[in-house]
Amino acid sequence: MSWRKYLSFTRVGLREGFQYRANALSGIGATLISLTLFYFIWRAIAASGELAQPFSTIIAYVALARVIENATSADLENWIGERVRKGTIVNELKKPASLKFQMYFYQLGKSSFKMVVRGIPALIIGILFLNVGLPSISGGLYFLISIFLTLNLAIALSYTTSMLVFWTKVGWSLRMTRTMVAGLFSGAMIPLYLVPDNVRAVFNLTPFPSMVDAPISIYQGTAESVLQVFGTQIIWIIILAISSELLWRKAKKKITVQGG
Amino acid sequence: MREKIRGLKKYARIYWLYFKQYWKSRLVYKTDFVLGASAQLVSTLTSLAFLTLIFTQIENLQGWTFNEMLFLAGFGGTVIFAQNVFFFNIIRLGEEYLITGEFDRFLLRPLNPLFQIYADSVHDNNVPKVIANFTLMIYAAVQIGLTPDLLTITYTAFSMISGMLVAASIYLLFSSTAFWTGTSRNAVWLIFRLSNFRKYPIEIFALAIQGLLVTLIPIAFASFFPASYILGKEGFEAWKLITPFIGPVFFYIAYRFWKLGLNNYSSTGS
Repeated sequence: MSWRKYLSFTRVGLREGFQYRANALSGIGATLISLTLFYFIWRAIAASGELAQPFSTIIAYVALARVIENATSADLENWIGERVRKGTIVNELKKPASLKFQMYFYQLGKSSFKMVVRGIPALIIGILFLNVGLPSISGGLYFLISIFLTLNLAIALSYTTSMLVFWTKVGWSLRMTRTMVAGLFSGAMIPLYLVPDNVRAVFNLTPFPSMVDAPISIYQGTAESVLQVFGTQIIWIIILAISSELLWRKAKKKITVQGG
Repeated sequence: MREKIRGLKKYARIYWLYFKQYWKSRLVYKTDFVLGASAQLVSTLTSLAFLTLIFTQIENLQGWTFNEMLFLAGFGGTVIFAQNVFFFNIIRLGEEYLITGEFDRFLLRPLNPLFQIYADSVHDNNVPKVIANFTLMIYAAVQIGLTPDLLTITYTAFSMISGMLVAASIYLLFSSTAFWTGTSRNAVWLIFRLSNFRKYPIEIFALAIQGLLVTLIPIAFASFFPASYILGKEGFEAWKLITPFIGPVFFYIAYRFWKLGLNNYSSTGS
């Protein structure tokens, strides 16, 4: 496949990010609010009982979770939802590039923008105020690789659920459900080491812990084996890629053009 | 007075017409409703799961037991989401009404423009969430063994209505900034995030945040104060006392601000 063709979709994604700069600004506001909320909640929780880790470690985890969530968000459900509703999806299907790679490279561009304007500010806040600390050089490098894998995982997941839009015709509720479930299972709401073992075992059957908990364990140096973390992330990407491909084959037969 | 009542009757009748009209167009997208409602329920379930997981680690949160926290979340949820059903549409003021020029149509009709925005849409996918939160509240009350007397029940009813007005006033105040900025979505999204503060005892926050929660974003009146009165928690006595009456005050202030914006408004001309 020719890279130049696909990179043009990445450029579109980037440009869209730039167009909605104001959203990025309010994104930083949202990050500040949710970190403030989590700070006080966890301070109160830590003051109310004996936890597995001290408050300073927990809040660093929570802050890193926000960094990762901000840096790796994907929203392909709404992208497809809009196009299916208006019927303009035919324009995408006519292009001489497969739909999945169009969407992948578009989201890559859009997410890169978010990574810079939302991920990095959250990281700076975390380092300055929430005891996040700096990783070792190798740790930092591994963290970046792991974040990139999370981004791919997030895109693969979003793409998989976005295939359902061909049946449901609406995207926003699918996306909301996905982000809610992911938030709970991934470690974004509660550090997974505070979750009871039997519940965590269930969480680990899903791809979500690989999205947030895994990169944090690398950043904080608590991962037993970095390679194993990468391996698990890659396996989940492959599983999701295969499931979405199967869904797409079914969806292709379903496509109805609305109001054409 | 007679005039006033007749006016009110007129608005009620028109709202009913809008309401029926809305439902007719709504039922065209049944899956949107079903999936939207399910997504809202999932969001209630995840915050419930969060609370449950937290309480596997601690006995109580600064003196609040699990069931008391459930009651707090259920009470505030019932108020906010019931409010959302009817007064949510205002958040679209900037993007959907002002920028598109749609708002000018409202100004031409002999009806209050704010009323027309409220009546234009019913946020019905919040209804299952209201039911879920109300059930949660009742469940928690039974678990705690609350036996409310007539005074408490009256207090609850009044403070719920007052709380709905408080919540509506927050949305109205922040959405009205769209008259100057042309956008309301970003401001209101931030408020959404802040509304999560309602689920926790106000004492856990720094004083500055407590101040915010009783003034600019007075969500404490829709959640913490009434819930802690009903549960018989100590402290904040005066605040709990004014809670059932404060809603109209906040709404009046927000409405004055909306009026200010309205007078300042000039059409986009598109």
